[in-house]
Amino acid sequence: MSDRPAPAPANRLALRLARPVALIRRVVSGPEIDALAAKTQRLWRSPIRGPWITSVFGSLLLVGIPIMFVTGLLSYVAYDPRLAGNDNTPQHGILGFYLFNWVSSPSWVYRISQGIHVSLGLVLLPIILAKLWSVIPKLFEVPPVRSVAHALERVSLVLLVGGIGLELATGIADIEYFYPWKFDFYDVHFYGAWAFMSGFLIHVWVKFPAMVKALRSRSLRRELSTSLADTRPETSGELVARAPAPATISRRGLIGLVMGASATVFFTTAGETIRSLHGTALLAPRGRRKGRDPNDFEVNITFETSRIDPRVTGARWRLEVEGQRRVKLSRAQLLSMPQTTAELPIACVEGWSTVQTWTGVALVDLARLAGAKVGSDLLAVSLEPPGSPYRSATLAGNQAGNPAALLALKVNGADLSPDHGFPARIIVPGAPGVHCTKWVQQLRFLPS
Amino acid sequence: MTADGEHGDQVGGNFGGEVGRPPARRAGLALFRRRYGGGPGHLLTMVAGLSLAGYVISILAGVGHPLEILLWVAGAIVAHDLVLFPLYTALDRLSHRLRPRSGRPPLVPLRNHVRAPLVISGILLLMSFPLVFGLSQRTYLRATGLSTSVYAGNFAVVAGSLFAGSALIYALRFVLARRNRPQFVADDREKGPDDAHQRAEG
Repeated sequence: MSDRPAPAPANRLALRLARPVALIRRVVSGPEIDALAAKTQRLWRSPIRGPWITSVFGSLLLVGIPIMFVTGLLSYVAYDPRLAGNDNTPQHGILGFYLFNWVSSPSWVYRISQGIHVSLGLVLLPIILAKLWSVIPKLFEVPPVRSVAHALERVSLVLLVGGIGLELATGIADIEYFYPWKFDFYDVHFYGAWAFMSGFLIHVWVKFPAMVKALRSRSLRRELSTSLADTRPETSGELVARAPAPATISRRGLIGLVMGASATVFFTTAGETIRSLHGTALLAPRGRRKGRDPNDFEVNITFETSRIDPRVTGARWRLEVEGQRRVKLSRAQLLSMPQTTAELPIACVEGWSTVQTWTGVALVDLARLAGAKVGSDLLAVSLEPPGSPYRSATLAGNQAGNPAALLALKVNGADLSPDHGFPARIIVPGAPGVHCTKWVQQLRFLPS
Repeated sequence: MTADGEHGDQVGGNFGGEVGRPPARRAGLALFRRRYGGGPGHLLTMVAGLSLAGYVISILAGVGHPLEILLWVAGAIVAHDLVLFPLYTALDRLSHRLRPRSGRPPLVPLRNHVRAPLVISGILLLMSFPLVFGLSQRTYLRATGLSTSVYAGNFAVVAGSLFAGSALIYALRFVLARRNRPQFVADDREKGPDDAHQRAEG
C-alpha cells in the first residue's frame, strides 16, 4: 500500500472519506479479529440460509412494499390535507409534492385502497420476519465496517430495519386501538414511512443485481420439488453457513411455512373489509356486530365517548346550513325534503369497511337551499365539544357536489342510532370514514 | 451479495463499469473504488437516499416527543435480532428433543408438524397480542362500544385449529407412509417397534 503514487486532486475527497475507515480497519484487523470472524461465522448453522432464500423473500417484499407505500400515500391524499383542518401532518414540507384532489367516485375507492394497505401490511408480517431471520448473520459481521461504502450501507440498514419495525408496530397497534406511546400516530407512521423508504430505495438499488443473480442460481421449481432428505446448503454466498447443521426443514418447507402464515393472517383478518371472509375473521380488530338490527354495524367513537349532551340531540336540535344565506332546519323539516337513498361504504383508515343503505337529504340539495354554488367545499361541524379530534372535517367540492353524498337521517330504513350519528350524519362516496362527520350541527358551504 | 466474499472491500451492485474507458479515467475509478469500497454510482445512491432520510428526520425531530420516537426506532432495530430471534431459536432447540432417540429414522418426522402450528400461532400472537391480552380494552371500548374479551378465545380457537390441522396431516402422512412401505409394516407386526417409536417421538 505504501508505494502508490500521489493521488490526483479529484481523488482527494475519496481519500478523506476513507481515512476514518482505514483507521477502524487498522484497529480491527489482525489474526485475533480473523479468528473472531471465523468463530462468529460458525455460530450460524442453518443449512438453508443463503442468498437464494433471502432473495425469494426479498423479491416478495419488492412487490409488496411499494404497494404499501403507494396505498399509504393515497390514504394521505384521501384526507384532502390541503383543505382547512384536514391535515394530520402539517409539517410535511416537500413530502406533500404529489397531493391531488381526491376522487369521490367510484364510492369504494378508499375502501379498496385502504383495505389493501392494512390487509397487505398484515400479510407481509410473516415475510418480513422470514427475511430478517434469513439475513441475521449480517448484523454480527466481523469486521463491522470494511470500507466507507460498507459503512454507509450499514447506516442505510438502520433506516431499513428500524423503519419497517416502526411502521409495522405503529400500524398494527393503531388498528387494535393500542397506544403505548405519547407521540402522534400520524406523524410517526407518515414520516417513518418516508425514512424507511429512503433506506428501502438504497437497499433495492444496491442489492437488486445480487438478488437477480441469487434467484438465477437455483430453480424455484426444482426447490419446490426437493424434499428434506435432498436439501443441501447453497454452494456460495456470504449468508451460507460455514459449518452447516443437518437440514431439519427443506427450502420448500420454509417457503410453505411463511406462505401458510401469511394465508392464516389473511383469512383471520381480511373479513373486516371482505364480507365473504367475515366468518373466519377471528382476529380482525373490527367487523364485529352486536346484533341484527339496522344499526348494528361497526361504530367508530360511540355516542357516550363523544361527550355530547343527549338533550341537544332531541327536539331542540336544529341544523344550521350556511351559504349565501343561513338556514335553520329541524329534523322534521329535513325529513319533509326530497329524500335520496344510496348504498355507500364507511371505509376507515384502520382498514375495515362496511357498506350500508343510507337515506337522507343530498348535500347538493342543501347547497341550493342555502344559495351556495354546487361544488363548493363544505365544512361540517358536529355537536362534539371544541377540542374533540373528530369535531369537524372539510369536504372537497367534488365530494360535497357528488349527487350521492348525503346528510343521512336513516340507515337501512331505520333512524340513525345515537352511536351512528343521530340526528344526522355526513356520508360521502370515496372519502375516508373519518370525514363522514357524525352528530352534525352545522354545514358551511365555503366560497371558492 | 454473493460477490462480497470473494472481492473483499467491494460492496453493492455493478456500478461504474470500467470496461471501455480511457486508461487515465480507469485508473482514477480504480483508485476511487479502492478507497471508497464501491463505484461512484454507489456513492451517489447513498448520498441521495441518506439526504432524503436526513430531511425526514429533521422534520420528525420537530413534531413532538422526538426522544420517545428515537427509543421506538431503537427498539424496532433490536426487536427481531436481539429479542425475537434468541427466543424462537431457544424454543426451536428444545424441539430437537422431539427426535426419536432410537437409531431408526421415523416413518414421518414429527418435528415440523409441531414447528409449523407453533410458528404460525406465534406470528398471530405477535400480531394480535394487544387484543388477545386486552391491553387496549379501554380505547377499544370507547371507539367500538364492544369488549376485547372475545379475542383470547378466538386466538385459542385459531391456534387450536392449526395444531389440529397439523396433527391430521401428520396422521394422514403416517398412514400413507405405512401403506407405501408394506415391508416395514410387516416388520412392525413382528417386533412391534412402532409403539416404541411413537413413545420416543411423543
